[in-house]
Amino acid sequence: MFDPRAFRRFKSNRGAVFGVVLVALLAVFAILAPALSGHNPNASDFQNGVGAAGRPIGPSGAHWLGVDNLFRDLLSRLAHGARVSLLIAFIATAISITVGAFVGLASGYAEGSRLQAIDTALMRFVDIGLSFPYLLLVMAIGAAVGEVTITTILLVLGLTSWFGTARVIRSKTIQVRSLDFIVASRALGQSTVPILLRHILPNVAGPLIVIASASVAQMIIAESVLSYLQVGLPPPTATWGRMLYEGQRMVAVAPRLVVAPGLLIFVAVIGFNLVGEGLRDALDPQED
Amino acid sequence: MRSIRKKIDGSWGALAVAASILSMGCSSEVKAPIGENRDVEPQRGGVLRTASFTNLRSLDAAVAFDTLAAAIESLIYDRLVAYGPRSTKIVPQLAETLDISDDGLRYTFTLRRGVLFHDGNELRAADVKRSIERAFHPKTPCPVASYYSDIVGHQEYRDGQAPELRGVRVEGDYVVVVELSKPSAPFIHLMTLPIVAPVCASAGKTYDREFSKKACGTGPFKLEKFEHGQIVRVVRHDGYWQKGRPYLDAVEWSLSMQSFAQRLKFEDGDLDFMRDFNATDSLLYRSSAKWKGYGEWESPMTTAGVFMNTEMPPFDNRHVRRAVSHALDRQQVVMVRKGHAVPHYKMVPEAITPSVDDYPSQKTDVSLALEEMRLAGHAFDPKTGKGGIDTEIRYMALLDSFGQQAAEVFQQHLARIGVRIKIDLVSWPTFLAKVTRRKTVAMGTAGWHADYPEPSTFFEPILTSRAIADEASQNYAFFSNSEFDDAIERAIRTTDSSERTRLYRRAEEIVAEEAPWAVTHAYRYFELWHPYVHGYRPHPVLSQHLPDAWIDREGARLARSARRGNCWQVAPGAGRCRQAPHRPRTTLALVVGDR
Repeated sequence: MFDPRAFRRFKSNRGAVFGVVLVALLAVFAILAPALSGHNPNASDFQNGVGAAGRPIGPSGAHWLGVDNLFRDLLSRLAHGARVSLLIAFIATAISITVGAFVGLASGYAEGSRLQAIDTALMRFVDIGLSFPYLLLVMAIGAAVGEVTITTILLVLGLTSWFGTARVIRSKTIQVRSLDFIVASRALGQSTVPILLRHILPNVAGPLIVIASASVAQMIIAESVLSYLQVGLPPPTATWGRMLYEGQRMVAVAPRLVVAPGLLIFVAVIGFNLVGEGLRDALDPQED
Repeated sequence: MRSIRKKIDGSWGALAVAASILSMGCSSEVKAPIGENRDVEPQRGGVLRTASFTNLRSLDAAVAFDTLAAAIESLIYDRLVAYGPRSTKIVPQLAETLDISDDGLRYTFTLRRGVLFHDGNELRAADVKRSIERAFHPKTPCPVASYYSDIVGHQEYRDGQAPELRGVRVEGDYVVVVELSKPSAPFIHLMTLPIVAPVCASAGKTYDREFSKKACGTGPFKLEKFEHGQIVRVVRHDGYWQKGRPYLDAVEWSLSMQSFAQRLKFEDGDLDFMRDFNATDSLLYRSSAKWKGYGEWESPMTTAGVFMNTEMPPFDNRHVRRAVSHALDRQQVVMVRKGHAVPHYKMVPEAITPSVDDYPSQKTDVSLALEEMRLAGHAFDPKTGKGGIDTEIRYMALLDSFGQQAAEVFQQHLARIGVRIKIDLVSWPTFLAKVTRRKTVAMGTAGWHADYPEPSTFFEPILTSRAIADEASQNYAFFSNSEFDDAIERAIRTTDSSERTRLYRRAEEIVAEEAPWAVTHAYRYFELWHPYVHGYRPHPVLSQHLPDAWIDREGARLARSARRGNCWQVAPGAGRCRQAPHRPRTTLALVVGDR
């Protein structure tokens, strides 16, 4: 699957490299920052965190970025939020891509065959899924499940975002399925599953990777929106969306509480989108 | 890089939110009030608009008993007697006269003639009896029915063993006699509550969920609109018995509105009155010379903290409850809402019973808390983190409230003694539905606002056995203690004030020892209104008591036209308008990426 030409194309794309740098910096921040700041993200510091008139203090030696409305270290919470956001984004994307690829492959391979009914059923299901307002669907599921945990968020995000992927992979599968080497494999008696996994899947991997990288960015946004709307992970878990929500109360005196998580969401999303864009360009043979 | 702009659109969402919020509120200054306080006579007309961060569960007089509902009910339902304007003195309202027999057992109310319900029917004595019987009907989930258990025949009627409430008698069209089985000092205060307010015949003989949407009484305003989670609007009752009143055409409450949004609307003149400030905004307004004279603290007749359900593990063990009570640091939690919350250690607020002479109260002491955990069989070692209670305890708090922030602080305090809690955030209606149900919620936010200025209001309805019910229990802790019940019962009966003081002191002692609640703070609201709102000051007992408010319509009109013209402030006297420095305002919008 590794194509040196694609790698060269990716390397020469400055936007893509910049995206990789942003993502790498974010990953380093998520891993190292809690150790650097030395604060528990959920612990209030009533000793050093309370400033004049009872307001949370700004950046200081004890708290490099200051503290939030409950006097908790902002840097630690941002880093913890990065861990939560990245973890949720990656795993939810994996779920979404896996389900989308499976449905897309099955549907595309069944299209026009005696198993046409499978394709019709799956695509109508996808139509229904796409017709629901995404956030409303996510919030409704979240409310119905009741208790919100990381697992709930992962399942909700992962299982409501694969519809578009399935559509793309189906189209690509239909295209690849009619190529000569697939026809040859079938003529030689190879069964369906090996054909799908060994021959078709590698040939639809390009779009799948591109979708996945863009999906990570969208998952970060979706998780933040859920937290912002107070239907995400319960407090005191630090997530960027929740921090944005909590910070808005203090915006008059501590705008950093809004700027910091907003900026991180922006950086994360733009980073993953740039990587996705670069991958798409690199994996597209027409670029040569 | 072909279509990067299109692909990264979604990423601007977070930045847009942050930028919007910043552009809306990134200033340590507050805007000046809209208009000026003009020296004009009280006048009719105008709509007063306000908001609340909570939702409203019901407006049925017999069942709705939270602070917001009570405020709206004071506009819809007049009572036989009520508190005087800005006074704790009880004065006749629908009753023209009240005669109390020498033995304190017989209350004779003579009604005013010509009082009309919102449906146009005249109020008669039979309506009063019907309304009281409806409130205490066996099928009515009245949260404080036990308050009224001294009315003759109350229990047998409540239990469904009698067809009528014997202690409420009708004598002719305009005389109602209420007979008590025992004298009760707070009883006359209880007659000021909406629970026993006359309601229209359409309310039926028992509780009907639908009545809340068409609430109907004899108050100065009638309900026009109640959209759950959205808005409540009441409009003037033209047939109101008090001539020339009310002044306002209507009062509107926007429901479930965050304090942040309320502030923005208030500054823009889209709300005329507000009180759900966060600590920062409150401080900004309180310290602003521009707003001097247009805001005031509400009387702090509240107590708040954490309730622990004594029927559910681990709080069926008094040592665990005591441990929690000792573990919560009152001084720390009030720092989150400085000015609004003050540390509090006992049930009755300082305004009613000052803490003098080593008055019994709860205390913060982590070493005592650890000792109580050991006695409870859940010894915890803070150094190793070993021990404590194995299971995570669900803690219910109201979404987006000070109770939520307090819960996050309490979570840290309790972790120090090996009690792990998980915070469940719910809306107000859900909170009420769950915490009032038996064996449903182990612990959560507790708070109580005085129904009348007397200590029993902080004991009888929320901690006595009589206040326990399988559904709609006002005793969230389901605390049952015979000595406590007896102390409250005797305090209510006695005419000896020193004996009453001693009994209430004993009741506080029992609360400190048994800890059904960990009392942590008293909360008070800072209320603010635009200068064109007149006739309102916080009432010493009643929350958001608006019936006497009026609007300087000309002042309001100028203010509104000023707002349309992007004016900063209306000049005194005339419709002149000072131009505001230009401050762009961005609409708060969430931009969500493509799928």
